[in-house]
Amino acid sequence: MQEADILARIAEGDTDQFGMLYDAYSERIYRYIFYRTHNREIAEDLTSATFFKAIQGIKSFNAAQGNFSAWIYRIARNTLFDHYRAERWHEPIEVAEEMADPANNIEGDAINRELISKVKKSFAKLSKDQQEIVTLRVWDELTYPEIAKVLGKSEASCKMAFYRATLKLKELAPLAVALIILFSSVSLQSVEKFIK
Amino acid sequence: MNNTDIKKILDDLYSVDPSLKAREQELIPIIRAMAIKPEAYYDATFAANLRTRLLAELAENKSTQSRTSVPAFWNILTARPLQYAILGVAVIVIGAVAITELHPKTNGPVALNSPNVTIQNVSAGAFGSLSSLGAGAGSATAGANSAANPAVPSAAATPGVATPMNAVAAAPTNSATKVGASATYMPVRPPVYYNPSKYDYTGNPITQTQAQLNVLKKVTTAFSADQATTALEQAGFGGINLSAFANLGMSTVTLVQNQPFGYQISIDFVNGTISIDQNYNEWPQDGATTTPLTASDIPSDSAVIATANQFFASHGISTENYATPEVTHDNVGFAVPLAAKAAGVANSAIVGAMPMIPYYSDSEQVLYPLMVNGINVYDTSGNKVGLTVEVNVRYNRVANVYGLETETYQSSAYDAITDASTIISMAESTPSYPMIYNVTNDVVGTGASGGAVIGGSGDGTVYDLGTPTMAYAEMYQADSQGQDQEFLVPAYVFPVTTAGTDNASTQNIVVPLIKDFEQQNNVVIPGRPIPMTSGGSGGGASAGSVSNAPTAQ
Repeated sequence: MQEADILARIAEGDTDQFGMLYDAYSERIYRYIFYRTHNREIAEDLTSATFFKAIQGIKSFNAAQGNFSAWIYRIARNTLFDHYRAERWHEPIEVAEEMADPANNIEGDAINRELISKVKKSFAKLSKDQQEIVTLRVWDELTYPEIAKVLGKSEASCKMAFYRATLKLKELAPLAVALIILFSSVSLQSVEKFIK
Repeated sequence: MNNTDIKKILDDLYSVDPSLKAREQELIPIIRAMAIKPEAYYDATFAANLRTRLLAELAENKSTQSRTSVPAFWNILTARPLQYAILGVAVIVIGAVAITELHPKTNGPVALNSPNVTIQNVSAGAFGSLSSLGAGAGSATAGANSAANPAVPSAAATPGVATPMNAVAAAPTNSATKVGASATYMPVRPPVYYNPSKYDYTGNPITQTQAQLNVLKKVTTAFSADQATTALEQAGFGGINLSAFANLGMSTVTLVQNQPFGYQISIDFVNGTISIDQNYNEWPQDGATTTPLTASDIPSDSAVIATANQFFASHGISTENYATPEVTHDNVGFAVPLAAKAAGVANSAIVGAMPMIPYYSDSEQVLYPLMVNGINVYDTSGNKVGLTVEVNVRYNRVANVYGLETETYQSSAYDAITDASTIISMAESTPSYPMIYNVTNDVVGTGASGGAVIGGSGDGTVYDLGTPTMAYAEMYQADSQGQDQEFLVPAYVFPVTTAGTDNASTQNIVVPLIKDFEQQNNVVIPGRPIPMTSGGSGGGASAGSVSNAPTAQ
């Protein structure tokens, strides 16, 4: 069943269909929150809160104003903000959006680690808008229309922010990029082949 | 991230700047690096339990509703055929109204981008407590690096969440306490503390003598069916009485201009915004064959601004609410000299003395800073807010415009902070976190509870703050429906004056001057457990202290 059909049936009162939406989105929402809290218990609690909020509003959800994906991410995002406020943490969201420890995640060699490290440090120099848009795009794999809906921005401005973020990362980590290009060509070649 | 995902991201980048295709080799590793993310384990037991609870809740709600009297006409209204009929009419109306609205020199029924800021006074304190305002979802961040959303960490923090350093010293959290729905414990490393930059006020004496200051709350006006009817008649669709459809509203509409260098115009009637973007189908897509721009191809600031001004003038868009436009100069990047490798230059020579080659993207960005009551508006990260224009310098045309908004506000007086030392203290105590850190390489000390103190960009650096200027801080608060309400809060903007900080993510510190924020001045930097990617309790260092670690004020 298509998502639109599910939403239509829910709007007509068949709320049992919500389970299908939950199955499609619960892990994605959990990951979204986990990436920004780095704490499993909190991520589970906030995922629960997100979906309980969602079932409160699902019957009034207006599919004409945006897709369910953007809507549920927006609820998750607001739930995160509420959490920070309620816990009286002065922890800005970009802190939670740190990138992973390369020592644990990098599959490649020292050059790759160097690049990751450079990019991570350069990431801090991006504007807050850029940081959030980059993470929503590459970590959460949202489309630009979805990101625009989640953040309340235009699709073009989100694209532009990502573009500028990429340029800035290139500017800030050029030596690392050079190292990658010069010494680590195997993985790149596979990507290039695919693209060509 | 697989190759398909990378290709999608690259394609999106090329749609913005086709010349980037020539630099694909450089982009791919950057994107791969950006895509490295934390490992997250989703507990199937938790997922199943939550699913059960949600469906039970829905069933309970359904049962309750079935016992409630439902008006018979509701069943008629929810019948699909009528829904489709209403939807069809709405589509026609939206299109018609949008045409009327956007046509240059036409007096549309909604005054988006009204040349005047409209402010209506309401009673003092009418917006309730402002203490929960933050950067919000309408902006990108919450409380980003400013005192705009300060908070005092609670000593009774959520289990599993590291508490402030002084509290942790009394109650170490080397092992997580589990209270969540899942029965599985998550091993965590000892708390990790950020070692923030600090600020030192070096400006002139401050005198803020006004006992009360006016806070503004943005008002967005729904587009009524009557207005839509008028527009529909003007567009020649006849005299449909849309008012006969109860609660008919208008949300968003997108128009596409199908001609060379045409535009796509998106109107959000709910939030009162318009964005104008290039219609990519109608703009040249030169791709890799495009000759890269050089410095000599980049027009002067005045020429770029003239292009933007001309666009606004010819499309009837007023810039009266905005200050003198500024070119942001962030279109310059630096590429590595790949040609050097092809020329046989030794790798060590290239890497050791890499001459950076500047290159220029096709667009320059112009910011028209928004002015309300004669002063600038900043976001809580210290950036000016306003109308942003992308000028494609290759074709000398405006490519994108965003930030066109209605400027209608309610104004309410709130008690203000008048004590200069408090204001300065708030500015100086604004945390500036190293946002990205490397656990392996950036440990700079040991926390009181045995956790590592993490360094990073600019950690521990003391930055000078200059004399502030009065401005509004753009802040948000979610309403009961989860929609952001925008507020403009009187604030001081302190410029970071220390030389060599051009690349810092924070150029200004924004301190709201309303007393609701004063009580939150005592800021302590909380630590946070870092999930491990494998089991174990983590290898915390021995207890100790770090001289520049954050402490309670």
